[in-house]
Amino acid sequence: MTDAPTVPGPPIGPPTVILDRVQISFEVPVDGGGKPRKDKSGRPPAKPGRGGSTRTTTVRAVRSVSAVVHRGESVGIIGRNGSGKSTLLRAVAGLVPVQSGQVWSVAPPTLLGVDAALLPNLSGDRNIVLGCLALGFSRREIRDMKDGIIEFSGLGDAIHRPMRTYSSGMGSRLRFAIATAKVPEILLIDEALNTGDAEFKRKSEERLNGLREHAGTFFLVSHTLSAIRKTCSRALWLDDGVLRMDGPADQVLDAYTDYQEAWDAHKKKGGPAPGKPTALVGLDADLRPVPVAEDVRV
Amino acid sequence: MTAGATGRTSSRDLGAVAGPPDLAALAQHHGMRPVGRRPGLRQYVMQLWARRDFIVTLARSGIASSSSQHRLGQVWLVLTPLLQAAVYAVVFGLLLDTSRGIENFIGYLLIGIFLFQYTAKSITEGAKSITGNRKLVQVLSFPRAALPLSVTLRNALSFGPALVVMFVMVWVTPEPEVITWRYVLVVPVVALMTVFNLGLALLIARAVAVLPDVSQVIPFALRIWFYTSGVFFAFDRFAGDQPVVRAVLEANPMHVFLTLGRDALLYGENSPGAFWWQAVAWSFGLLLVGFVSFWLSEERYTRD
Repeated sequence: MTDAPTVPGPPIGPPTVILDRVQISFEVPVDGGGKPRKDKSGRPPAKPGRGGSTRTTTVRAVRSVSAVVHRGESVGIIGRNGSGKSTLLRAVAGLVPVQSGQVWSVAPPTLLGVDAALLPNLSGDRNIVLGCLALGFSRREIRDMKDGIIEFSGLGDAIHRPMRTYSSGMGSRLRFAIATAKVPEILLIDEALNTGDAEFKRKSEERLNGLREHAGTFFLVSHTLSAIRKTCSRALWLDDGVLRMDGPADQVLDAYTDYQEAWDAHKKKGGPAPGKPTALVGLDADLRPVPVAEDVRV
Repeated sequence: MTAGATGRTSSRDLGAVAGPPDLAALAQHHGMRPVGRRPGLRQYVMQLWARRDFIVTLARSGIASSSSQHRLGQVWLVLTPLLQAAVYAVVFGLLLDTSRGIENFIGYLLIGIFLFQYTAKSITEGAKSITGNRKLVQVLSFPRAALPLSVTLRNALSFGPALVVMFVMVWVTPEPEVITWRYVLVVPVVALMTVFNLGLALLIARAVAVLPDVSQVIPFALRIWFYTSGVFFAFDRFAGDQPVVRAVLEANPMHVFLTLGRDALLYGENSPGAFWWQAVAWSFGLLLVGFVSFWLSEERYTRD
């Protein structure tokens, strides 16, 4: 755990995550009509695959994405539905095998989320232990963390009841409390977890900010551009699995919104389709993104 | 591949300008490790060891969770094999009369069914250990062998009460069995079976994760295995004068385990040494094969 200063925009340190020409594709089954079954990306097939009885198609979810991310950077990943954002994030976590290329990291990147490990028939109490063990903590660490988790979840005596008896708000509060109990060095978040009442929302936002500041490196996949603008120093724009733009969050988001608006206008009024921006924000000699003077927008 | 910006540098088209950036070298220079690559076998074992608390807790929680769904809770751990034994006692003992030539048939049948069920359960649950935990596998990174390991452990823990029932039942059956010091031999028999079950669970979890169709065949394979393992009949009756058939039937590891169990619990006899060696070879051989093959496919389990 690094002791990063809590001021906005901590100094950028050495590289912590490197994406080296990461390429990911899936074989997905195809129905008789030639349309792909609903797969994770929801994208039309790239090319028909060969197979035995079931026809499959190859979806190229991420195409040769490279980036060098440093300690102290918070990276937002943006793009339309099915652009490969979540897949890329899961590849960084080591949960999706890459077809070619390689993800490198200084510490195991941790995806925020623990839902799957919890058992509804067990008490919240026992689920805390189970969830923390699933996240890789030792029994000793859990002993120290437990009270804090119970307190943060605000469940009180309900912590001894089976989780299935919880309201959905209570459940998500407990899950959030477990998942964010400790700051990993490299933190990955897929969409902000936003459940619970206003009070808990505020608490969880605070905690996420704390996590982000203390994590060495932070990745966020989100459709909410304002969330990325608020929390990220850098953004990657993925489009159809291709990295369109990589640079300071403000610039990339502006370019992205401009492009989306141009596209919407084109859809409504017709006329020429907007060209996709092919410019990437520049990188300096250390492969850090630097703002470029020229207008990189559409 | 879309072209990068002309004249501008980027992480992608930097190559065109300044030669391909050697990102791998940069990563290694900073002491970074490849993510999502299968670790070496030694490291894999060490990772599993580091996760032992998780494996144990997952096994215990599984038992607690499933028994909390039933009014009788953990009583079912004992009740289920009892009911099964009762059904088979009626069908095979009274109706089909396969008990001929078997001393203490009830005890013979009980030991056969309890021990066979122990392995059968590890197979059916081991088969689901990866595919049934897709969400877990997709969000959290841990050595995936933790799942079949935990399932095997869970079965071992819940077999404890069943084992006690088996003792009691064998003891109260009308034909008294011979009680000798060999009773303790049931401990190594069950221990070897547990190792054997773990090997099977690893093999089958891998097979089902790679080719889900395998799970459709498992019930039939188990049926055949059940009928050919001498659970409710003695081989003498069917294969007494056919040495080849007999040899094939006796090579079955389940038959080996059942014979060892019955000799220890029922007949108070020393099993031939060859049986013990076979049991050891089957258990650890299968564990080795199962573990290595599971580890070799480690990267495939997250694929959706």
